[in-house]
Amino acid sequence: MKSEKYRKFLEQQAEKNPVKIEGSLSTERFKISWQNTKERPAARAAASDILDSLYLGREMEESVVVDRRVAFLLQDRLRGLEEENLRMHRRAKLLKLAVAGLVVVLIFASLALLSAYFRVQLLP
Amino acid sequence: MSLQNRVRNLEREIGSRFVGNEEAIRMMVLNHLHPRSTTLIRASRGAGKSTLMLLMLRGICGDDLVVVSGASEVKRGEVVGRLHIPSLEKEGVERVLWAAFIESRGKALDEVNRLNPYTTANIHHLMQFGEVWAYGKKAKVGDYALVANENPLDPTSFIHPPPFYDRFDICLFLRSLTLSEKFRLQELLERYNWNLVESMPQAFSFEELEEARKEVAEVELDPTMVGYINLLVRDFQACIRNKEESEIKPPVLCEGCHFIRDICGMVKEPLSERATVALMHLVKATKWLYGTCEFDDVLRMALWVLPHRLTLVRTRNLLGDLQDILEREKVKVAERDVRRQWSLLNELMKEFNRSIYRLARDAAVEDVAFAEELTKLEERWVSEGTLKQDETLSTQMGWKRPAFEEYRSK
Repeated sequence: MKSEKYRKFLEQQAEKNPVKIEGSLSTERFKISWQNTKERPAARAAASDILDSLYLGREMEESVVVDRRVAFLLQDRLRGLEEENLRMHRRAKLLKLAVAGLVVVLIFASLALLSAYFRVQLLP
Repeated sequence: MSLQNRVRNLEREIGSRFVGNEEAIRMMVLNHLHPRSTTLIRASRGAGKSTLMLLMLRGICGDDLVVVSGASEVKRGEVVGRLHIPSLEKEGVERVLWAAFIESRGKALDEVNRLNPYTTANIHHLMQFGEVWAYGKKAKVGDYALVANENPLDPTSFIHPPPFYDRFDICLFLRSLTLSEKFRLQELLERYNWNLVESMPQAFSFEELEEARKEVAEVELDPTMVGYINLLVRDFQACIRNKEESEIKPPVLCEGCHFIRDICGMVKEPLSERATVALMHLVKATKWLYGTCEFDDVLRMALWVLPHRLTLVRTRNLLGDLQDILEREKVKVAERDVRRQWSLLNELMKEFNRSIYRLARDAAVEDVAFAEELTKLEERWVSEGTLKQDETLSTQMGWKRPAFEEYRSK
């Protein structure tokens, strides 16, 4: 025996978060979609969507719900950033070596110039 | 003045004598808006447990108030009743003189952790059945307001059974005062001549409280709100491995379980149904007093309904841990909306459809409470021949219903 309130609860939930069924369920030809048929409750003060807070700088609510697609997107973005980070790290290392080499060359060149200068000065 | 205004006035009167802990005062007032209300206050020594208890009871019962203290020697005759000796001697009749604690409407239990097990058993019976027994005689106890307090860190404690604590509707925790609050307390003590309790007026008569309780009981709750309350409690009970009957408890029981990271995996001893009743009373009272009650309010109130009723797998700070779990519950509700699982169940309740069933199965592997409901429907479809047993989610995932239910269905 099902409770009347339980049935009403399911109905109210179905109304709040509907599934769109196109065609008749009794036939094989029908389509179930997730699209909202009506607007969400009046805009909240803060965004629960993590992308809004990341890209639009909106303040997050206490709980943030991330759907699978957004999670994949963030995962992909993180992977890209990590690869970029590694690439930049390698480039920085190379540049450091180049700078060190240049400093050594500069020191030697300076020494060579100085020694040549003093040699010229000491000659009668 | 309307009853609502009188109740608000009571909250104001207590708030003007008790510093800090505003949420505890608010919850305590709300909790007294249903018959035979019981409140437990837990705090360390000197945090104001007894003061708050007495302020509340004086506010609604005036002088019709009896305090039984676990810190003093308590005899049965003082709590339940004693024999009337002259009747026995002269007439040979056993007459029982019921204790003032039984007859008073305001019942206070100070330091309940120190009460001996016999006294506790009598009070437990009173809270359970609304009656007391002494010398073979029974006395019905009318409507009352009971407030108890205890210091769980007190070393001179008796360990009372969990069902005794389960009889308390809510358990409030008090915190110590901040620097500025200490200044305020000193000012208050001086203003009220160092006696906060004596200065507390009776905000309304007990008959008016009974009238308010009647009005609160008549408040109708929306099925969505009832559903959220039931789901909240179910999330703290449900276990696909049936922990209620199992000898092995989480975390060992959860090893290898699909739902190991869910709320069920964090709760060792689940909630009793009294948690649902307590939450319903509080939601009705909130709606009666403030005109509205949202799901966030339910979560906030649940923090005081849960702590004395369950055991967590790991506890660092009980209230902090419970707050984290309640936050997860909020996320869980949002995820349920995203999955449209109740819409799917609503369709499946009307008639079986394989495509919708497939979607519902996907949702069920994410949510124990939903999986239970789908499993029940699967059984119906199997018995009707719509679905084969091997095709069911319960068979494929190895999820079982409680053993006695399976036995009954065979």
